[in-house]
Amino acid sequence: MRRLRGRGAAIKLSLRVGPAALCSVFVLAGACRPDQKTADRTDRPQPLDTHAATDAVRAGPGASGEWFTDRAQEAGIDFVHFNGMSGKFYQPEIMGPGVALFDYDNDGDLDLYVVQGQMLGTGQSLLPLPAGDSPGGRLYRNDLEIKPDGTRVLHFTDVTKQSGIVPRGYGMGVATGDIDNDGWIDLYLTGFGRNQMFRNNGNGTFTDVSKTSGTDDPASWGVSAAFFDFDRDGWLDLFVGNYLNYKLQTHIPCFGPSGAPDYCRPSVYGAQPSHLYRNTGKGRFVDVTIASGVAREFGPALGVSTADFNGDGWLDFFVANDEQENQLWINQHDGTFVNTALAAGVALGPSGERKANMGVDAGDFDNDGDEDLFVTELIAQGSSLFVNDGSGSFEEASTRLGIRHPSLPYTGFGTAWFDFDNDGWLDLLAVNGDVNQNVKDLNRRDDPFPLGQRNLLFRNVGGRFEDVTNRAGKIFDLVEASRGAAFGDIDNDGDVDVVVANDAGRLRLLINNVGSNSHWIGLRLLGSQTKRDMVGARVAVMRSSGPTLWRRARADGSYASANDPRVLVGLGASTEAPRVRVIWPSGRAEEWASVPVDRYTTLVEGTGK
Amino acid sequence: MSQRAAVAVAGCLIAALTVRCRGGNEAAERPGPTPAPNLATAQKLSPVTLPDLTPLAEPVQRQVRARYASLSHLLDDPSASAADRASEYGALGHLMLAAKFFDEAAACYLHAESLAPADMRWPYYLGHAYLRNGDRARAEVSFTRALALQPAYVPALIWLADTYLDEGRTEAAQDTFTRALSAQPGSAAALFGAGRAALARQDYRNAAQYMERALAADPQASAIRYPLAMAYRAIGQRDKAETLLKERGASPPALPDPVLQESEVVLESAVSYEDRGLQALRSQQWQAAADAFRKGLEVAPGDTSLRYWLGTALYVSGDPTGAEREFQTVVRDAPTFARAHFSLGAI
Repeated sequence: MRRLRGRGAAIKLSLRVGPAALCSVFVLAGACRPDQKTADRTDRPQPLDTHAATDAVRAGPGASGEWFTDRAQEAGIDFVHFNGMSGKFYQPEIMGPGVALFDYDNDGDLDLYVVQGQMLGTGQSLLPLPAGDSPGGRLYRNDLEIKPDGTRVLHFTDVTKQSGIVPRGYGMGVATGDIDNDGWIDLYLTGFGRNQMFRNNGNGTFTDVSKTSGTDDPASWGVSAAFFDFDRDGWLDLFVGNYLNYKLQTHIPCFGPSGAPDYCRPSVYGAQPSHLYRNTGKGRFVDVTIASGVAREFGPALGVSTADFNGDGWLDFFVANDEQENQLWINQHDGTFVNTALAAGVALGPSGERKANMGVDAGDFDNDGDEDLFVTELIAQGSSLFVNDGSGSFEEASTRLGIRHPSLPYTGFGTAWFDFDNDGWLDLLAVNGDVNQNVKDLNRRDDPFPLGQRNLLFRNVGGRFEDVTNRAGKIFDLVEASRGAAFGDIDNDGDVDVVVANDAGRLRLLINNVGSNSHWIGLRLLGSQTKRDMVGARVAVMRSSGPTLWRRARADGSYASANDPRVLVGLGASTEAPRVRVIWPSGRAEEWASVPVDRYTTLVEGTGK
Repeated sequence: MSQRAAVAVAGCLIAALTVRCRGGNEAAERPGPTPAPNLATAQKLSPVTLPDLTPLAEPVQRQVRARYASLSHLLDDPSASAADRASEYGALGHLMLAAKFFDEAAACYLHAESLAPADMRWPYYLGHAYLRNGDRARAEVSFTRALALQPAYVPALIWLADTYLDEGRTEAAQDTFTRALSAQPGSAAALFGAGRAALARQDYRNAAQYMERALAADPQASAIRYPLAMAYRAIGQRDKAETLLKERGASPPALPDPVLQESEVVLESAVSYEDRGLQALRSQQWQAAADAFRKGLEVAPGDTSLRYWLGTALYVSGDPTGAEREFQTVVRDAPTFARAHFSLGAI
């Protein structure tokens, strides 16, 4: 995702080829052709255009008319990320942190885990270590109180010390899933230098099972990871996206054209292979990266999203790679995968360009029953919107549908399809932050990490998007280096809230004030034997008025983060209790005739018709 | 130039060492005869000031200050013509653009345009400054102004069409690419642009036709193959799509742009010389590449990357002895520079 070429990158020299053939052995970007037009097209952030909204989104009561309000501090979350920067421009300091929303104590509300960095190298930190903070990520327990009149009092308690979660290394991201089918959600932490698996003991504590689970990877740089049951055996498998072959000891200094030091582009270091682990039962994993065929192609992986992209009932996965072709791994039903990204039209940008793909999410934004893809990209590249034709073949439609132009000034990371106004159409939030220092911003002596950008909120209006950032609330005026974003209904009021994790900045808790003004259904999808969240299950919400809405249970997607596994479906003004069909990851399909609106309902596999 | 302005500029040169400096007032900074009315003069001209240069490499700072002093000197010369003054503003603008000080570059080009309103270069460069600053609306206006002065300048048409395409204005983009094709029917960049506009409109057959012509016009433009494959896929010609995907690459169509090329000054930094050398390497201009790397080493003698590339350029130009000498120096100075070891081993 870099603009800067690293010093000391990249040419291969062979005595077997003469000068005329040398082009073929260049491993420079753009190979043997001047890439002037592309190289010149760099932009800086600019203020967003103000777009007229097509119709009103009603603000909730007591919300000062704001669609989203940051309530982190009043809810007891005082987390500040520490990236360990010392002026040496180490790569990991611009990549974290991720954040997770998951109900670790099974009390019915979403708790929060946020990843923390640490000092990189032996230099002097340019940023103060957050006061009173011990090293490592934080686990916050949600102590949501709902009063008899429906008023919600949100409070989080830091329970890190008693949780037993002791991260080792520099934290990057987090994934969640119940690896042993005991009904308690477990935690997988990715990091620069080490990934760790923590088993939820069911009593508020966790045990580090990295080694015994077989997912220990002590020399990796993992960023995004995803749990999904790719072989339909009832156990959650795991994909871990790894980023670069990078070590502080062999750090290569990079510079801008005017000689100012800056962060390198990923090609300076090269990609580190990702891993696919198969859960053989009870949370013991074997590395099937080679056996599954996934080892054949890899890039600097930053985002991963699992879904059934070709509609065959089996879970596939998409990997977003930084400045390399993406992969779309299609499940072959025999434990192997084939990468179809090129033919499917999701490998490259619309002009055949390699984009700096970061965050990703899959969702049916056009309500046609298949999983479309949204990918956040580098500044001046524009976010990608890949529209699925139902067969796993996609069209890049960001320009046509109103995404490209508003996203051009930003470098996007965390993102998700989510229906923030509960009108039945999936909207988008992209959280942003630069990765290269702007030479003008270097003059801001008060800010040693001048990578901040605004976040972007898109509203889906019948399948096209309008940029509604300027109307979403004061929190969207902030200029921060946002990375991770986790989506879920934190206050259980029937709309999707967002936690935004900022690099070298405060954690933000964006409470949604508008979604619950419309009607909705909330679903928790549990397995018949296991009582775990059946991530990957698809849900069809059938109504007498309006199209069938297809959604899926998932915790993955975004960037380095984990989402609420429940399914929340906006119904707009409709109070009709819809018919709901669930297609479970096993392939089995069941229906429930009438699911009540404006509340959460648990659907257990095997109890429908 | 008034005495007050001269003092302000001189003071600026000193103050710019440490702090951002505001130049003379607008009237004082706008020398020469009153230009013909146009958009540049209709809008308020900002004084050209130097930003804080301290984050930049020392040689680049010297280079920028020297150019600024030269401008000040010329502005102080009553015999200097408006065209000369415009050129001097433009030269400083080029440096600012290369150093990514886009606001300052734009200010320079606005002054240049006001002094030489019939010269299409200034609004054209201004458009690029705005574009790189993310200000597409102003870039469009500037490119349009440049095209009013030189309607058939194909690169300007293509840049303008691209800004339309970025905004989703596919019809306007298509029209503008078509204008470019009228001016230069064989332009691979214009054909590719027309193909991309057609693709964005889901007009797959026309997209395929345009891109086939673009590929024929510039067979080395391997980046065309992927979107062309997408067009063929959409019209059901999957075999063609598959073949193209196997041959995909990253090189866009060439867009010869002598005006923009004129603006590409070499900053006195190792990276800038390295860029220049690598461009020459890609174009198989081995001697030019070696010269650029040598100049870079004059600026930064200890830069192992530049030395590595110099070794590479020497090798491909038929001087393996010279190459070996440079690679030896690299591995001595930077023992962990793996590629230098590899190249040395290969020799």
